[in-house]
Amino acid sequence: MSTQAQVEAKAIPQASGAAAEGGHYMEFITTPLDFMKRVHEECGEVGEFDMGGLPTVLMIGPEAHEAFFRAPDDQLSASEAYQMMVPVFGEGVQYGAEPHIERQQLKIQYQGLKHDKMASYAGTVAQEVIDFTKDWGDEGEMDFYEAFTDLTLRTSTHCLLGSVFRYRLTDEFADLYRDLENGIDPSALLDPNQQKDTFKKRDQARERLQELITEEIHRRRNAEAKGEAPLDDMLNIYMTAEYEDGRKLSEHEITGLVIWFMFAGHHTSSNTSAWTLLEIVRHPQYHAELVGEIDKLFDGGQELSFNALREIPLLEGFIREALRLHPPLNAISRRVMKPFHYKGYVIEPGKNVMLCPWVAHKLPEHFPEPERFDPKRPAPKNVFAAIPFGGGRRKCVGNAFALLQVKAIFCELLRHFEFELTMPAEQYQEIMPALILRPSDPCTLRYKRRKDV
Amino acid sequence: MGKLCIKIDLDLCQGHGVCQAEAGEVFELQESDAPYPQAVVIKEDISDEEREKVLKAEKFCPNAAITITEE
Repeated sequence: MSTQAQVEAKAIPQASGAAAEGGHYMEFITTPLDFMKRVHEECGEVGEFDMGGLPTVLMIGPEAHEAFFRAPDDQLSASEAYQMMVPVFGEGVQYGAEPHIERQQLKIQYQGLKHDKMASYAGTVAQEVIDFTKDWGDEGEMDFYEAFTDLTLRTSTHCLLGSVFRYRLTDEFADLYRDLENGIDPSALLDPNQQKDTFKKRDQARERLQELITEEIHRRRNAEAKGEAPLDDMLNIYMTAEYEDGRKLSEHEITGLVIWFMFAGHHTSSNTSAWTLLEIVRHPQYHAELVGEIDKLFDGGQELSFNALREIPLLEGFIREALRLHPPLNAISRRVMKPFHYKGYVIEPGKNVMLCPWVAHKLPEHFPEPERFDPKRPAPKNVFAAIPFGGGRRKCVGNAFALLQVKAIFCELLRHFEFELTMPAEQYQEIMPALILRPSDPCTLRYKRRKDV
Repeated sequence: MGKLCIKIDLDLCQGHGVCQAEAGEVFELQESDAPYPQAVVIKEDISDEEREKVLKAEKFCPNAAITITEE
């Protein structure tokens, strides 16, 4: 740090209540959202706390978000901050890879999200919803957190990895995937390799997934050797892709890319679907308008299309408000690699900086009456005010896919079913057991097949 | 109607390609330093016919990377 910076740097406000051992770590992992809200209330836009020996600076508000997202990787590093994901994706994949390798891997992933691919996904999602609901009967009760977890695993796998992959890897794939997800435990922030049952299961799940994917790769290579045409899906893209030096992806890397793609496509979609449905049921005053908007899409007997899904403002408003009030990811982090200057503060290398959408999305200057769910709320003027998918060059590149997927799911669901709560509204609460905000258990709703269609 | 001034924020563009699909005469995805291609404006003078398409590109860009002002 230069002498001039030392003179000019403002002291970063510090959060109160650090324990002698572990600082604020226990409070962070026990009640992360309330804790970050408290840090913001005490410290304002920039506030520092002690994450078990790792000084962490929480930055809240669009200007702070913009500085964070526009900083280059060699100043604020995502991979250094997300080492807990390395055992999930695997060494040498994404955050476990050298930056130039990660960049090339992202380029390969991008192939599945190109515009022409996206345009074909709406119909696939709609068909999955029809299959998923065909045995529901005329009415019943169901846990919709569980249901959306299953459904979005099917839709994401089908769209992103192709129908063969989707139908070949079903129940076992879902169980393994759940074990991987459970391995993203808050304690992984400090040490993702400690001896723990959830981490052991995570590692076993990854090994088994690699076996399954390797079997599928070999099956395809044999089929192609016998003259069968290669399939048009992501697995084929991974199998044929080459790095800039001509090297092909290993089976370990392909498995990692599959897991990475599925994680990116699944979390946001399943949780957002559950919250969107809960909010639709909690706000019956919009029901007629919402169903009218959706029924109109199918007026001429046509199938769901990419373009039609862009013009359903009320449903989109419900999804955006669900993402505003209940954002799935709430600890967007980077490791400071070079001094990070912001409004007179200097955040030194070795510290983490963190954003918390759940706190930021309730700033009244950007979201008037922030606690009120309003599906007709205008978008905030500042593009960095709402950040459910992150922002900048590292924004979740699947954000458009996630929105398309959730919209397609609700068009099919609301076209055929009506829903109501089975418990008092306040019993459906927010919980965050594995760093992802989700509805509490049970998340049961009653459904009835519509008689008017 | 005044002349449209189109700006693309390359810190936000992730090459979703909606702009190129809406108005391929005006926007083109090109290889970039980022891991994905990024949008480039290839035509500055926007005809009346292209105007609506360009405004749709701005409206539907998933990353709000396009800003259009009227001079």
